[in-house]
Amino acid sequence: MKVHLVIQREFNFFKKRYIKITVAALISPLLYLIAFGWGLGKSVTLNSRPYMDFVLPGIIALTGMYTSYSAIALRVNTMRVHEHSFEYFLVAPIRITDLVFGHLVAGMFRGMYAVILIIISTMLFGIPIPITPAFIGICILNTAVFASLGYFAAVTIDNHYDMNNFSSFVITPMVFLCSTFFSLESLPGILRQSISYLPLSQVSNSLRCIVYGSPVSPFSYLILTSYLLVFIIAGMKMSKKDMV
Amino acid sequence: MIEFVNVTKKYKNRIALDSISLSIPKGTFFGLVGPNGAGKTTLLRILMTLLSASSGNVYVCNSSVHRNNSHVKKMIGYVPQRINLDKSLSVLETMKFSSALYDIPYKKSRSRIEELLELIHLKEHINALTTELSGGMKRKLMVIQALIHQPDILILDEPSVGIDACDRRALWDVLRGYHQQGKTVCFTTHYIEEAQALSQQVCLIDRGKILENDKPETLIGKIGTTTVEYFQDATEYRHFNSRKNAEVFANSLTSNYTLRDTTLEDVFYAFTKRRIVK
Repeated sequence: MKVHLVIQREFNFFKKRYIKITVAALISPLLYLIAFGWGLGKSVTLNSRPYMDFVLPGIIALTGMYTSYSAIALRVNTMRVHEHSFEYFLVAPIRITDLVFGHLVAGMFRGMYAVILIIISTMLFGIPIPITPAFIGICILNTAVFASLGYFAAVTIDNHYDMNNFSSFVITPMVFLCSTFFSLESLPGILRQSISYLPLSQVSNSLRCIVYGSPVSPFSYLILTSYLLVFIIAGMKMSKKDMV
Repeated sequence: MIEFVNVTKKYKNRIALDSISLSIPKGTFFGLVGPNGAGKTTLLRILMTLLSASSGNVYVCNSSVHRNNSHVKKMIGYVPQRINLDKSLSVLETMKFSSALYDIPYKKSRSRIEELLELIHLKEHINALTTELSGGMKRKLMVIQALIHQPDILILDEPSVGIDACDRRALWDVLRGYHQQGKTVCFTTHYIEEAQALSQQVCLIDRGKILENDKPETLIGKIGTTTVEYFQDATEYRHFNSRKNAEVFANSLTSNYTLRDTTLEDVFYAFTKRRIVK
């Protein structure tokens, strides 16, 4: 087992760039919080609750998603296509599973780091968040799903331009549509149904349930775990393809 | 030790390797020589599992190579043509990471790392980031990275590209020293001088096909050991197995001529009517 070597290398990468990484992890979610939470949200209520209660779980979900996805997708794709340092892994005596899980854990770490930063920031502004085991579990599952999606995209896509397109077509729509800033109830039937099965919708709604004090549906865990397994298997399969 | 059996690599409209069968015995200093686009790198990348063959098999010590075959991978050190160093690591971190990947505890590998860095004069740059090294230094670092686990087989793809003449000689010494320990060294090059200076066995490859595969002296002997190069409408070459006959022919020429030893470049030209280095 050489998972720890991959994690160590990614931790080394993180250590050398932690200021840039920290600032980058905070900027977007803080802007969302300021614009939609404190700005727009002050005068809006949803289901007779403050809009901030609604939007905060969504922002936490999208922060974990975006950071874990991009940390691994950009890093692995750059190593593959630009630096070619990923080749060194492939010719070395390390198993594909170690590569996948090493990057998965590294992505989860980066995602959880961003989530913790945003939770601390909101707490500093006096907004309490119930940190329950279920809350932590959903956040971890969220980062795992999107780190594995990031790995899959990075080993599948052979150039930076298409990586950017993948992000524009898959990640950005999820940021805005998956029950992050508005309730899916307002969408037409089929669209609402389809979007509700997307992983970020499951995470946003589950975190919202916890904030509202209701139990998380076991169905959400099942859907997220299924996504995770599919992305891991697809990532492993694509790791065997020809290098560019 | 290394065996390619009917290896073919097809891309959409192009055959990069056409049913290559090749055997490289243990302990050989093997040169794969051909012009750009001949298929040298593709063949090595298939051996290293970075590419998959469209058909055929590759064996190392009778074991089929594939991406999860750690046993075979531990036997091989690979230096690719393009720089593949992690830009976020220092020289020492790069070497420590390589040691760990090949299951060498740092305590044991420490002296080996120092020895290897000394060998290629990189010890003073031990804490420099790999991005701070010159192109030649990066290439040398990649070579010692491949040697860290003392592999039985060393594979190098165009090892001299980007290295100045002085460093190239130093690199040759490193490779010769390694080969003298009974190891198999296999490299690709389009530098004829390099192929002749190092190889015990040379395989000439062009357009995905093997033209010849033999000892350099045997290949040269096939066309003649002495070459007369002269101009008659275009540059012409005549090869002779006796220097005396070559001199007789040269003296009969009315144009200027050069009398010289035949090179592998001449052998390649004799078979293809094309030059390796254009």
